Amino acid sequence: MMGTEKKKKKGYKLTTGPNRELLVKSPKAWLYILPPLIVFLAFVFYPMLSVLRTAFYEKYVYITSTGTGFGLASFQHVLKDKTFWLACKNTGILILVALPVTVILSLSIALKINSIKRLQGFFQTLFFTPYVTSTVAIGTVFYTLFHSQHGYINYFLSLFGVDTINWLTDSNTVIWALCIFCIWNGLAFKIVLFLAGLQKIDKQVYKAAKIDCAKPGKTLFKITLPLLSPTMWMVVIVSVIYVARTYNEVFSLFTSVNANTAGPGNSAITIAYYIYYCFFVRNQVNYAAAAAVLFLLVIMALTILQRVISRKFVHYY
Amino acid sequence: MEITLKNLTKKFDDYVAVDNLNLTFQDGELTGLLGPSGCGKSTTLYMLAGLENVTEGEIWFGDQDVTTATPEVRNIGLVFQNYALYPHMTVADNIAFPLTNIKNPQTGKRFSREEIREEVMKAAKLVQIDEYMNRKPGQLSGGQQQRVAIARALVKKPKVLLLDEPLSNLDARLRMEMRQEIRRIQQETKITTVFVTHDQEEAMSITDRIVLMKRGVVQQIAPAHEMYMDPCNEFVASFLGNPVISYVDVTVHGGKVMLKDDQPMPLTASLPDGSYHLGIRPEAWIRGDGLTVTLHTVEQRGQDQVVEFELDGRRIKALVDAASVLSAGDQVSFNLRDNRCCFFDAETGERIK
Repeated sequence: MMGTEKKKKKGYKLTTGPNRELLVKSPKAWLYILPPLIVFLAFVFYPMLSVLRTAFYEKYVYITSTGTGFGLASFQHVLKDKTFWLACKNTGILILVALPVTVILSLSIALKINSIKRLQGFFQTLFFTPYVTSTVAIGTVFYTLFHSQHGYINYFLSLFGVDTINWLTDSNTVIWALCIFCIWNGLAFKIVLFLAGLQKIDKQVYKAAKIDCAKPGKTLFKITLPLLSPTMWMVVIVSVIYVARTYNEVFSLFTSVNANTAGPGNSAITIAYYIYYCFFVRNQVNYAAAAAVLFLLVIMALTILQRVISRKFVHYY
Repeated sequence: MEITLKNLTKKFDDYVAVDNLNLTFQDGELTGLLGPSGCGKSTTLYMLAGLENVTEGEIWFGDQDVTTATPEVRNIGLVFQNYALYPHMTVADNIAFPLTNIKNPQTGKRFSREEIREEVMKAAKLVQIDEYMNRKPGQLSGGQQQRVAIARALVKKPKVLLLDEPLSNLDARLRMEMRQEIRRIQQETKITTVFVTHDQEEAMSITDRIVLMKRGVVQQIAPAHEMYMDPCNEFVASFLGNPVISYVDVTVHGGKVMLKDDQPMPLTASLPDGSYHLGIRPEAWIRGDGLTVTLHTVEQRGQDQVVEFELDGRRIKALVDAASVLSAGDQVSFNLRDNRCCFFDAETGERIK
């Protein structure tokens, strides 16, 4: 009798977990996780549920949060929409072309910066500046650079005899303008991550490689890159999701001029921009929600694929 | 292969790390580069390896000048202080790595897979690590990692093996074991070996010859026993031996040795009259009737005891056998063995014979 009363006073219970570890159970624990939990529930979980619900309505009124007709009609509509498939294709191009180019470029720049002895800090700062600059501001600069008549890019190409390219107004080239912008915009953060990864590698290992007569190329591929693979893996995970969500770049490069369409005839549209476009321009909230759900499924599939690949090629040590 | 250093000097900006070094590492010998930290011993080793540039002077491997040669053409093996194994490779791959970069000197072609497997196994067996071939370095103990590092250094059959404080990351017992291992491996392979250490006991126990350095300057080059018995200056005498040598100021007059207050020491010297520093090894003191002192402290070590007493205001350490147990405050009389005492110049600290 006395024993049980005492336990109640303490306010916690000791139990044993599945691996025979000691577990303390107490309602007080909730207090500690409450602040982040509230934020998570309000800004992540509730919107997710709400999107899921909206996606299954056939008609939905945003102001009153009411919908009619329950079914897969919104999904059907989105999957039949040519613009959606164009958005998928463009996002795919960004992931398959722009992303590998950024990763390789940033890795080479990081390797170069890491190998110089003087002014290393200066170059680190220089290459990181774009990251702390607003994408919209950079977009404005790129808009002028890409300008078909007055832009520096066409001027530079004309020196090599290349004809004027309508970077931002030709529906066949807009996606490549977007790619170039995304590549440049993604460099800074990746360079910093790669530099951090490179600086974590023990310098003695390179001395050992020299003693072991390894040529620079071999040292790069057999030592530096395998030791950098956890960083590389992290960069790829973060970037795939970041690139898949490309929206700011589209907005700042096209929307400011073309009034709410991503380039001529929405030719530079991405999935994230498609969701925005359905919601705010066409006012088709349930279609936007359906696209968002589909997008979530694709991202999940990509993440699972990445996990499978990582088990084979990433060396944790 | 014999290694000769001629006027070897290394400067870091204004700081002279190695100052005009002239010495020869004998073929097939294990030479210890000994000295306190910052004495330039590791810098010397890295210059031998080609990882550090030479400011002035020359390095000769046999009859070949390698002063400006890169590490890969020097044909050396180097064991780093922290081993510097490749953490993402297995033990077998770590040991095999040097072989994948060089050509087989016998055939002049790249090593085939079979040859590599064979050589790696041989090296692994030599250092007794062959049971762990598929482990990664992170799954090995310090001593095992060190064996892998030695195997990797030896697998390409280098002409010179360099070891940079290889035992400093090991615990005391393992250190004793590994230094015997290094000695065994060196004697089996007959490879010219340079071993950097700051531990005098380590250097004395396994090397054929010791090079003792201080602030970039070589103090003495001699086999361990000779260096201990016949030090060339106070620094050398103080660096070797545990407990350390003790010093008193003495005057010599007509062959008699006296402390400052004219108290006679139980010792004679055939030196010109004058003032000297007398260095007395702790084992020089033997029970007798020459000099009576009062013990300050007594430290029992099992096989013997270390006693401390004062002589002319200086603390003196002496080793006494464990036959009769002494305690602080006891009055004890000693004689001195003159072959364990050295006279030094009172000004310069140079040995006077």
